[in-house]
Amino acid sequence: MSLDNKKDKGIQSVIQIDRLVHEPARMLIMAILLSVENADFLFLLKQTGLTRGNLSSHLSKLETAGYVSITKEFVDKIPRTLLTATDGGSDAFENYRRRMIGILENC
Amino acid sequence: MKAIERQVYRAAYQDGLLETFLGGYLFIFGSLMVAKPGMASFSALTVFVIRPLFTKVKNRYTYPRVGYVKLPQENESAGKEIGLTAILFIVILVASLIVLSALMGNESGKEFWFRWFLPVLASILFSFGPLWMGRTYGLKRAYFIAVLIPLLGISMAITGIFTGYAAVGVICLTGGFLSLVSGVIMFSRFLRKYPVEEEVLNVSGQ
Repeated sequence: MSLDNKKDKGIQSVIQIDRLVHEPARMLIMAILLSVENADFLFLLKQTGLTRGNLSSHLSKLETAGYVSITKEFVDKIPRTLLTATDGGSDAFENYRRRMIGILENC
Repeated sequence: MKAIERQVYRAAYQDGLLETFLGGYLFIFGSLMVAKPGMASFSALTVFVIRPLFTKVKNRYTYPRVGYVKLPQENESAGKEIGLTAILFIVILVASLIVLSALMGNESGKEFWFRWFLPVLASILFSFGPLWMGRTYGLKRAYFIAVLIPLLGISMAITGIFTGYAAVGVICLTGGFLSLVSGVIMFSRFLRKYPVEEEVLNVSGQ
């Protein structure tokens, strides 16, 4: 394979990137959740700086895709909603990261 | 990712409670070392009170303000590293006492050990805690305490103001006091900066 062909393949892989992770807010949410074991909604809200509605909407998309799992528990009778990055989410993020590095290296 | 990780760790410990509790423990340990060195080991029992109290205070004041986060288990392995280093230092302390006593004779060997070895090595040992806090949680003030404690140990050995267990006690008292004060200031700032928020999660749009 010639160098140009390799470069072409690298460029073409741009359209194969996971758009769900590619969105900056969701990327940040995933990055935060992957660096912790789990966190609640309020913690993500403070760390991302998103609005409640915006964060809810992004979390909803990530949950639907199976990248984030949402569980509820009670601590001292106070409800706590825990958000965890799933194995699927971790794989998706890692694939995205590798693909992006590959693309940027080819540029 | 590293930058995000660091930010998350900082956010998790920005309340100053870790410093407050660690400082409080060191203060108790130091006081016992100065007053009754034999009783100092009993201060370890306070862990049974401190740990649940720490969790309770976090639940009551921190999580309703900035949210709850559970950090990964990897951090506990860093804690184990510190623990193993501490054990190694204690072994070095005991071994140095035996070697010095054998080389210099029982009396002068012991005197040398109490005046020089114990304050300096103990201060280095106690600087590992703040050093670990600084490295793991990115707390700059912890580095300051980590540097100050060995300096205190060295100055005590040179001046001879405090020797032996009293020197160890004073080192712990000073380190504990600084950590406690810094923690309390951080905590009061934290309470003012972040009012209690009600968590609302409407992920599914209900």
